[in-house]
Amino acid sequence: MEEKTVSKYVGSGQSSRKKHGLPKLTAAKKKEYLFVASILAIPILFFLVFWLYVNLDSLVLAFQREEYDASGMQLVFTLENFVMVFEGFVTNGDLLIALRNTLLFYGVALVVVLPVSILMSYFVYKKIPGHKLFRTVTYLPNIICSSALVVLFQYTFRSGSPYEALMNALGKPYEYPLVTDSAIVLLLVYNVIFGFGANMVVLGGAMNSISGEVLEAGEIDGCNWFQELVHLILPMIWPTISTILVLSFAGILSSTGPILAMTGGEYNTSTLSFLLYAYATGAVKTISQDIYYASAVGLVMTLITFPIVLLLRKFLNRREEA
Amino acid sequence: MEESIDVKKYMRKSKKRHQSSVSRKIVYGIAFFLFVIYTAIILYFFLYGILISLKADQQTFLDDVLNVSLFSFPSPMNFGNYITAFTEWTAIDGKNSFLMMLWNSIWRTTVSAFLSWFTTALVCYVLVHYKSKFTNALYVIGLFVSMLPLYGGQGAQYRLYSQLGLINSPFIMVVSITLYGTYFFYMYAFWKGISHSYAEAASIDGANHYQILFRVMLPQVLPSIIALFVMQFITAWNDYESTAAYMTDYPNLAYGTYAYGEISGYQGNVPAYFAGVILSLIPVLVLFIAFQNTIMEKVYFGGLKG
Repeated sequence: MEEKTVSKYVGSGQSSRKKHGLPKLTAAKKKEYLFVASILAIPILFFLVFWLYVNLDSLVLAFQREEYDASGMQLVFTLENFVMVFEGFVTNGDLLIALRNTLLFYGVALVVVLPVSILMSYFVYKKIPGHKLFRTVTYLPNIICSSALVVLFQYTFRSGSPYEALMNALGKPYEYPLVTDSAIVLLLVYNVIFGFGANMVVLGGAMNSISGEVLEAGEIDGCNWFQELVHLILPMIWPTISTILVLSFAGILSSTGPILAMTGGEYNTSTLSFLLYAYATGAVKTISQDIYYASAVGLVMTLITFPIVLLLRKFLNRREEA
Repeated sequence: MEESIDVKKYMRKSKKRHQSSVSRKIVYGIAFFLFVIYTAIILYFFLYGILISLKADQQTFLDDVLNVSLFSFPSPMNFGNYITAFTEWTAIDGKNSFLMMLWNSIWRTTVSAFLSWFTTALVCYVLVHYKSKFTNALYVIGLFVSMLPLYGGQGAQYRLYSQLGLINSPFIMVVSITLYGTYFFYMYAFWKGISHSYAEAASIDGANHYQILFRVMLPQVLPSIIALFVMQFITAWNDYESTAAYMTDYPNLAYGTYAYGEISGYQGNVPAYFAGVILSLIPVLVLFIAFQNTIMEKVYFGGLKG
């Protein structure tokens, strides 16, 4: 079906069109098809190679492991990777911790960051005094490299820092929190402090597209700020909010956040996305590269999240229609 | 009788309006206060970084650590750290200086951001303005790919890059050519906002498809999509994870910031390192300040329908 359409676009020969009983292409249509093909051909090719092939290959890798014999390395079919995934969830628990942290990050993004971003966007949209400065400052962490931001954040808690001064003042013993079990709390704090900007851009953009007349009518009718936000603005920007919700859920396993630079995944701070990155690339010094295991973990996570994203989208779309 | 009801209604509404206006002022005041606190927190981190970068030398830095006074005004201020930074960062791998990393940041960011941005812009233009079963199908696949990403592909990706000889090769930039780039939905929304009648009028005047795209349609979305280019540029400039995975022979400044701490174990010249960190932020800050209004006002997307 798709192939037929593609051939229609890339301009199959007239004889083949005749054979299929299709009308003769006009010169104008031919030019149009050539134009479309010239734009889409290379991106489609790259998509097929770097997305479709890669994902199909990762499916195969999930069922393979390397074995060495006299003739050298051989790839063998095995379910060992899935046994390791099972152990990661049950026996040694590193995947379980990563899952817990992943859900924690998403939960905080959902319960804290998104609602506060909506409120902040609203007040900036209402042009409170200093709104332009506030908007810029809130977005600032998004334009700063996270490795630099992490360094500034880490030094706030390192030895000699204001944090140690605070602990001393409170008469409490000082310990660098990023090398303790509290590290995950600090990572969550980091995500909250620096997490508002990205949402604010799209929410602010959506609010700016609302007709001013609707809000004026609400104000004349005596709407207070909360009623205006909840009953007028939120329904109008709901498509944007639902998109943020779906994309951020789908994205919880595709971005590692500040973990690599902050803790390197140590002290129980790894997330599933971080583990996938570490096993797939070998870029983390404490974790050896294992692309087969990474593929199996990815496959299991896909199978779990796939239906959740579908249900989430269905639910949000239904709300939008209501 | 009816008139008195109208007056009562008007009075009630007017009272409600007055109350609402007072409550708004109070709430706006609280919001302003909270924004001031938040601004202070964010700016504190930058001020702290600048203060460390101006410490006289490593010994002064260590003294301040011992005295728990890192957050203190350096006296004297050593602006020379901003010169030392250019050589200090060589400590990362003994080969790449700060200037080399700056150059890597510039060429790698420009090429990858442009390729991704440009191809996504053109793809979205075709998907919006050349409707057919095929382009509709491509859009639906785009929705699918964005919302239901398949996890775990990084291992296969690494192997493919390795087989193609792209690891630590400048040619890895070509993978930035993409059908569904980072800002696919934003671009799609922008093109949807442009009426096709302009293209039709240009076509009647004899313009070909490329002229219509580059001379008639593209100029209309340019302010918005330039904002996306700036965002893409900033994201690519700040990307240190893909450098750590695929391009350690061509380190950028973002990777340098990460690797210096990892490799030197913070035994090097920390004030000079911080001076380098502050310097590495300047290009994106300048870019953001120049384009912030466009980014803040033009970038939005709606729902995902497919």
